[in-house]
Amino acid sequence: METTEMPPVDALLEEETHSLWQDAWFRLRSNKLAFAGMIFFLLMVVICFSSPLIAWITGLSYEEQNLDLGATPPSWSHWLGTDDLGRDLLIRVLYGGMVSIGVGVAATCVSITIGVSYGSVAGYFGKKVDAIMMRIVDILYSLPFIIFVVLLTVYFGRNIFLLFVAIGCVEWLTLSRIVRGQVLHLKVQQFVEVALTLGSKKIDIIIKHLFPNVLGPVIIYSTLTVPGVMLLESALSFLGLGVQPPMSSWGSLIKEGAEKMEIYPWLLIFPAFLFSATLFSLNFLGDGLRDALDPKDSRR
Amino acid sequence: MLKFIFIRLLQLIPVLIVIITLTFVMVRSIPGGPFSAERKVSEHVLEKLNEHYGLSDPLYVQYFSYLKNVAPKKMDLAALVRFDLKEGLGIDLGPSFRYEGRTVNELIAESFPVSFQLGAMAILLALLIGIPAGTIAALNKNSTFDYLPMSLAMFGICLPSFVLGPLFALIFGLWLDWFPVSGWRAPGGFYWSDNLPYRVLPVLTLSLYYAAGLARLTRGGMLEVLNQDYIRTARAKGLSTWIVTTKHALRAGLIPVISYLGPVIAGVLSGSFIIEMIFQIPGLGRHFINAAANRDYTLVLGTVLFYAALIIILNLIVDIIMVLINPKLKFE
Amino acid sequence: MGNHVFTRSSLLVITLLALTGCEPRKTDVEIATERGILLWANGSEPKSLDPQVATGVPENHVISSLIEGLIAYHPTDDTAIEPGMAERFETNNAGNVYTFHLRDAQWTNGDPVTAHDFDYSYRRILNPALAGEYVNMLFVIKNAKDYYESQGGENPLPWEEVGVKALNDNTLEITLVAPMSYFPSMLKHYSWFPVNPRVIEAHGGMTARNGQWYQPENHVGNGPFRLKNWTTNQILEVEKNPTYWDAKTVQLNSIRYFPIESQDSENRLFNAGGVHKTNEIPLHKIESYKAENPEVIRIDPYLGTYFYRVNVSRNDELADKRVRRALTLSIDRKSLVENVIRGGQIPAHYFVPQGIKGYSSQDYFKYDPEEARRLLAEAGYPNGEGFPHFEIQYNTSEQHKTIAETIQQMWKETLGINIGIYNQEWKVYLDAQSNLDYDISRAGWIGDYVDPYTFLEMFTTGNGNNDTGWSNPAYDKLIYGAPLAGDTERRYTMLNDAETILMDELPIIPIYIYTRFYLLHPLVKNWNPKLLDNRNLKYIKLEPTVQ
Repeated sequence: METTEMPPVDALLEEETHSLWQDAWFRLRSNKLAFAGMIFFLLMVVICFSSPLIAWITGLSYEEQNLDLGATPPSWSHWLGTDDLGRDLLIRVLYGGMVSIGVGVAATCVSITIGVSYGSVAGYFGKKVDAIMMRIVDILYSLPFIIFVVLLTVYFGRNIFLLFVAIGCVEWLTLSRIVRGQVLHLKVQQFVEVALTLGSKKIDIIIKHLFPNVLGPVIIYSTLTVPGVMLLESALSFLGLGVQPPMSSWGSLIKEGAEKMEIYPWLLIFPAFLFSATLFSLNFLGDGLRDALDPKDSRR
Repeated sequence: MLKFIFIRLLQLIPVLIVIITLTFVMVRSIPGGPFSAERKVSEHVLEKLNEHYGLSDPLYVQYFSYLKNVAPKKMDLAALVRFDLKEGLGIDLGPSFRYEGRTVNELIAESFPVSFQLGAMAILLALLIGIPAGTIAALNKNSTFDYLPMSLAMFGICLPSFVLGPLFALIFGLWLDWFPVSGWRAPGGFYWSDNLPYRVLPVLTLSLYYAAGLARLTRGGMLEVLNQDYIRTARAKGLSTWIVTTKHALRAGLIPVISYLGPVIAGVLSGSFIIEMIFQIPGLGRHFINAAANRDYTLVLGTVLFYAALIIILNLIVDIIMVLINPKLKFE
Repeated sequence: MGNHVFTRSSLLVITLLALTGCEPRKTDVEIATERGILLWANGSEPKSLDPQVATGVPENHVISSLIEGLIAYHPTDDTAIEPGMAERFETNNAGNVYTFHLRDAQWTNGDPVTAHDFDYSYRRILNPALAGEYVNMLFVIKNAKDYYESQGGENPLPWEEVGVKALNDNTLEITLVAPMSYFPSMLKHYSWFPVNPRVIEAHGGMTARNGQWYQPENHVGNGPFRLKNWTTNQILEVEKNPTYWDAKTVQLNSIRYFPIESQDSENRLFNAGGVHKTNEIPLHKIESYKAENPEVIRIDPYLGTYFYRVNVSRNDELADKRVRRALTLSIDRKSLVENVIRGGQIPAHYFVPQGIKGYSSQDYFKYDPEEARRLLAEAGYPNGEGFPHFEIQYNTSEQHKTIAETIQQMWKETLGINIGIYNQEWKVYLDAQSNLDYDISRAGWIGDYVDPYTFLEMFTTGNGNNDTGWSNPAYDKLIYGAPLAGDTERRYTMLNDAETILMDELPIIPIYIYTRFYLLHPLVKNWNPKLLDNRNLKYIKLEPTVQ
């Protein structure tokens, strides 16, 4: 820690955080891969979320069937082919993207918020607080998830909001353990001790010193969470929670495609490709963000 | 440390009681019972069935008698090694509703070793691939040796096991005919090695996702550490990259990985439903899902309890390792 | 084979190579065929092997290899009587007393199979403490219902009053509540199969449901096969029973049943030469099998109907017969079956499946969008205007989803109404159905025996399987009267009248008649289509590859 001699710690930290974000943005822009990832991701978001508009313009419909046509490989009239009910795959994939990106990003944000705050509080206060909080996590890990989800649908209806509740309830657990582990490790490091001796408040220490340092693992774990959440969504629709057919999602399209891949490979290839491409872009963006926000780097 | 372990094991008791209670309430409030079927069982038969399985008693009676039955009463390590919870600890998890004449103890005792074997191999493989790959990527940041393993890792994450499993079975099982498409034991197989070909595809499918996750977390953790001053100092002192990496960097860099591994190992060792369905493996994973689907109350409770114990113990191990890695932390 | 370019036709080549035995490494199927072992993917793990307790088709496949009833399955004809434990039987003039003459047969432990064993078995299932789910099947026996209901009460009816009598070791007399010509056919159901009283008593007694007596080390049966080993969720093997009375006819040395729940997995296993027979084929693969490997695909008629229940008690709109008729007439079943499901199913314009000898089936309605629109308009919803938003519930499955989506679309296009669809987890779905907590609900029904009665009985008022809220006194009268009608012809006429009422009122919307589609290795012989998927396994034969 070479910053110990600087006098007003709080002022210094503020300035640092301030420049941290500016720096980060600058460095993110200069990271070509990350920047490309961001552009691609935003593009996917824009396209998928304007799928009702696209449907209206092109006259394609995610639910309109053509039983005589059935499943056809890609052609001029159906760029990505059709499924076995003769529905256009392109528009279904786009609608699916709307659902999956929406669910993926929103649920991941929820789980990050809960996981990071829960984990850092447990890790920072340690001792009894940590013991109780982590035993609660253990309990939540163990409860039968399927039964929980079915109970949700039975007692609260088939509501898209419940989907977030259900996913939010499980996805933050591992994240909170990762954050807690990181915080436990960090809080005995020199710079935190220094801040403590200089009289910073605990909450300030958590926010200003610990948060930036756990950002890396959080961002990386989040890039694992997004695909997990998107696929979990399709598993939950199996239990009757979430989007109802004929609406689709990437998870359910991939699941369906996987079953039919020998006969109608395009039903798997296109949804899986868009799914992967989006995750790749998110991932590059995530890595770039991680690098850009790395507090150790920023001081040099 | 021994005191720490002892206290944590003591905590098991209230935690497990809470878990039993919550699970009990949950399984009993879910619609449908173990005997509901498309061809409905007539009222009078249902009544007798409930009587037969002790389901007609008041709920609190059932709850307390369950608690009494699962309370450990003795300790016999020899029996425990055989996963015999009844002989080993005096735990009686009750009869299964789905498998007539089988007890939950038996079902767990015969399916857990299968899942354990599969899971242990998969985790080992995932560690062997994931950690070196992540380390190499971190050391060669923003070069081919970073992009290549990380892109492969992304594929591992993007292809869910319900795609990867059938794909592997199709390519390596059916088309290339290198490995069996499904099954666990070779028909008429005598030696353990006869069964080895049956392990390859499920282990591969199961491990790839975790290998990918581990690689990404390792890379992130390592990057974080490689920028730390003490590493820079160590490097400046002229220590070789190998020594710096293995002796210093990996230690701190693996902290997120270790936290991640606790729940992951518990999850993998207790079996994966999807993998077990695709490859026809008689493991514990299918019981988690099927028991809930069949409203096999005792099997749900039994598997939940078993899994809870597993995850708590693994998280305990994680916490011990954390302290061992970071000498500044104390057991508390 | 490593450098093959893999296309679908090369898959065929491999299969053919496997069939002709040119592969260097022998597949499991080839080895098994040589040894006379049938490898059978049997759906799910049997819950029970106790004939008086078990329910379900996979259970039946195993039990019918281990135990033989008075009457056995005929290899080809569903209504024909194949002698089993009874060498012959006769009826009295009234047709209500059956006398069965048992052959000299043995249990696998050497005990003779006697009429007393049957007496014990029937007494066992009629004991309420056993909670046998198929006990209702035996209520056709005189006083059986009274006996069952009076047990444990003030004045339990003595067993001697029940119409089952072992006249001597080889003669069993059964007295029925009324003359029933289809009674011998009913005896093919496993709830009528015998168990060995000594074995049952040795493992917990008559009403124990501990499953001990049928574990491999304890099992005693009288069928063409005996239980060899059984590992939960892996394999159940039966081997030829040398003490079976007709052991010389038994062709197979053993049968291995694999509980494989995933259709995709069993399909791959079949193509890899791992099993002789699969339980099902994924719907979307049927076409390609038909085109490329027609020799392995089997599509058999099946005695079952796929239909939608309509809840007539929840909404005024669906309580209106015209609305239900409009919904029924606007489904293009032919297109649904040919373009969507494609498994050779028969569009159902009636409820009782065809194929029951002597029972005439007719189309009660046809696909008629014009008439459907007219009816809906008459009910007050011209072009679907003002029609409320109802929903179809189905239990989660790709197939049910596809069918629901298709019907949803047909209703939208023909009637202009918007019907939602949603899936439920299996037991939640069952629960909602019995609590009438749905608008329209997907359903299916497979007959227990080859008779219209097993289909029509459930829609009587208050029947546990009615689940529509529908009730019709005239219908009830016909159904309750039919079993007592005496001769078959009159009985069938009454049942036919009942079906006419049902198809006029339409509390259910028939969609199609099931078929059973599965893959069967061409080397398996004598495997004939059967309406209830039950086979006399002693006739099944494997023809080893001709080198």
